[in-house]
Amino acid sequence: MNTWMEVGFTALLAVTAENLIFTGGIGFSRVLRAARKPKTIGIYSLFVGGFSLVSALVACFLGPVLLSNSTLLFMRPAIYAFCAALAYILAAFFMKTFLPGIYDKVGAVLAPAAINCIVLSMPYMQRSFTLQPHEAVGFAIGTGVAFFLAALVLSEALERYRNENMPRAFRGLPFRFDYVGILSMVFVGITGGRLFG
Amino acid sequence: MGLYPVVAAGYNLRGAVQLSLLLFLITLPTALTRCFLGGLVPNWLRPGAVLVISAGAYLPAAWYLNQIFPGSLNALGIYAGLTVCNSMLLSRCNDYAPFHLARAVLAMSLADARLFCGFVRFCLLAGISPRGSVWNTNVGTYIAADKGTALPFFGFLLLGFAAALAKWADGRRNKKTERRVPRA
Repeated sequence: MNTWMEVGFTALLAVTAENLIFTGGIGFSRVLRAARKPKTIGIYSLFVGGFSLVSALVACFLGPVLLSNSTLLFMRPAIYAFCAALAYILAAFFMKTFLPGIYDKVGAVLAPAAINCIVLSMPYMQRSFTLQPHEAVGFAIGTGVAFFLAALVLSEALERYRNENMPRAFRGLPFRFDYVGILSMVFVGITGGRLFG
Repeated sequence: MGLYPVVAAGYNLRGAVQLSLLLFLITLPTALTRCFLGGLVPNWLRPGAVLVISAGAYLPAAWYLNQIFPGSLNALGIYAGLTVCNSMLLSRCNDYAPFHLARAVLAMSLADARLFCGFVRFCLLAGISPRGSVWNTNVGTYIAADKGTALPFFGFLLLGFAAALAKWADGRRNKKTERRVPRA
């Protein structure tokens, strides 16, 4: 029971206090891309959560080995990136071979969901928070949920950026940046931005 | 896109130069390799292949950066490692490099790094240059209210205003062009 509660709490931490996207600004471009196609936000977020989970679990088991030696520590980003690439290639190969129908539908979001800064930042988060494997699972799930919520909020905002009352220069991308900036400020204001502050 | 490391880690001009150099040193070999491979790599494998190449390019790039700026990798924190999967780098190497000449790819890599550094320079000059050198001076170290300027949200806000400024200038230029009477 205690383990499940810890999983839940870490998931909540990822959605609120240590929201990578709003507090840390990580993976923002992916969220923007996901927000442009509201129909795929769900599956995109599911993949982000899944690949984040793989990345976090790899870090749990590989992390202590990489920290044992300065050369391995230096190579850490490359090793994690290699693992993320491998996870994507295996998933894409599996789907292409055994589930071609599904791959045709979701293949376009598989690569951006698997290879991005959110997924690759998991090992660093795991180390910063010294997460146990079950807590890392919670954090990855929470990050998937956070991605979903961020994309949902932005997809709503994208519909409003054509507002005629807005100065012409601020319409479009500038509005999106400022919108996210204000949202991030709210997150930092509430939580204090422990990790990125 | 892919400007988040600058937003988050560009506390001073030195950090901006370090990040830009790292980005350039990773983008150049990755993009050139993708350029030479062209369409040989199947579409579905392309993103994974680019990440593997950029991960390989990170090692000499990070080593070289640490030789020029000792301690820079520690100072840049997770943002140095995440440069491997920078959105700008990935999209250029996936979509641009395979279908363009090596010369164009080289120019693109240089331009991306300069854009990176240029944005930080804009932010720093706007915010802290009146207080002294922008090379070593960190943002967010003066008074309590100043601390926010070192956080990512401040970078997003500045980025929004910078984008609006660019859009305004672009609009003005277009208007001038429209007004010009074409010569016979």
